[in-house]
Amino acid sequence: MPDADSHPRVAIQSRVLKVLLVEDDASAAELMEDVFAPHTDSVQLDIIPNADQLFTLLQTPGSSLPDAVLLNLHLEGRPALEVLADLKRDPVLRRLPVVVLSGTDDPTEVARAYQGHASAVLVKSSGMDVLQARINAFVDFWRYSRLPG
Amino acid sequence: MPDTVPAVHTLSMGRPLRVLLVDDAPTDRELTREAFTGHKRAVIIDTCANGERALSFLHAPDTTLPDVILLDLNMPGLTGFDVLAQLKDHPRLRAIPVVILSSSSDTGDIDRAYSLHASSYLIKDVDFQRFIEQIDAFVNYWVRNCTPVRLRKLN
Repeated sequence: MPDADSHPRVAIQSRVLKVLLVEDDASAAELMEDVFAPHTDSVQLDIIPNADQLFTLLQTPGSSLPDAVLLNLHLEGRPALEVLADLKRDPVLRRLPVVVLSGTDDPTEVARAYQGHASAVLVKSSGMDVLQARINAFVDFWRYSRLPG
Repeated sequence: MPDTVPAVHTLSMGRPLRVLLVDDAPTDRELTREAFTGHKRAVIIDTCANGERALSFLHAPDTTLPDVILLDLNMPGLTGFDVLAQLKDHPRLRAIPVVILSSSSDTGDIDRAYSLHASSYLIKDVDFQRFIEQIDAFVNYWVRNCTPVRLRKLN
């Protein structure tokens, strides 16, 4: 990056944020599509239903990586924290911010996710208005954040 | 984002967000504190003037641990990368999310920070009004996320 860019005038991302949601529950995935719908100008939301497809997608040569992964903590089959650990062990994929979506604010689960290097833990329970506010804040924050190359 | 600020006062965690700001430059620390002015009721800010002090503060038994750390990179002595690496290697402190707050837009710095498990990376905008918008987005995001608030009880 040239020195001339070391003091950017505009910190907000001008490009579309690519968010990859790993969610095996179809109705939960639909709900997330609904709350991301107001942000279609700034966010591209892709959804995959399980961890195996996540790794297939991310490890396909030439495929472009998402800017952030939203990972459901309560996936059927492979535990989400194992998925997180695998991502964080990979020399390339470890840079991806992984925000864990939890149905509970149980402090043990929250701490485990952070200890596994989740970027953040977002609780998806509560009413629709609360979830919408959380997703709005998620989008806003990540648009102001600089993402890994 | 004035429309979102009132909601900050009804935190899901029911208490102010505690932020530890680590920055060696007094003027930058003051500027960042000023940018948080609109969130006085919602945020408590502790500050450390360098990496060594930040680690001592976090290791001290009477410290109330922060919900999130805002960490400068370019510091004399321990750099932000050193501090980040030490925190993420520590069994208890590794769970505290660390957001980098730097003027560096170097892609190598950004990738390195994420590789060391920074939660995210903010480039300080030189325009103060825009910097306030960044801090607003930071606060609105972290008050709505769960942080490992009962960390000490797990260890």
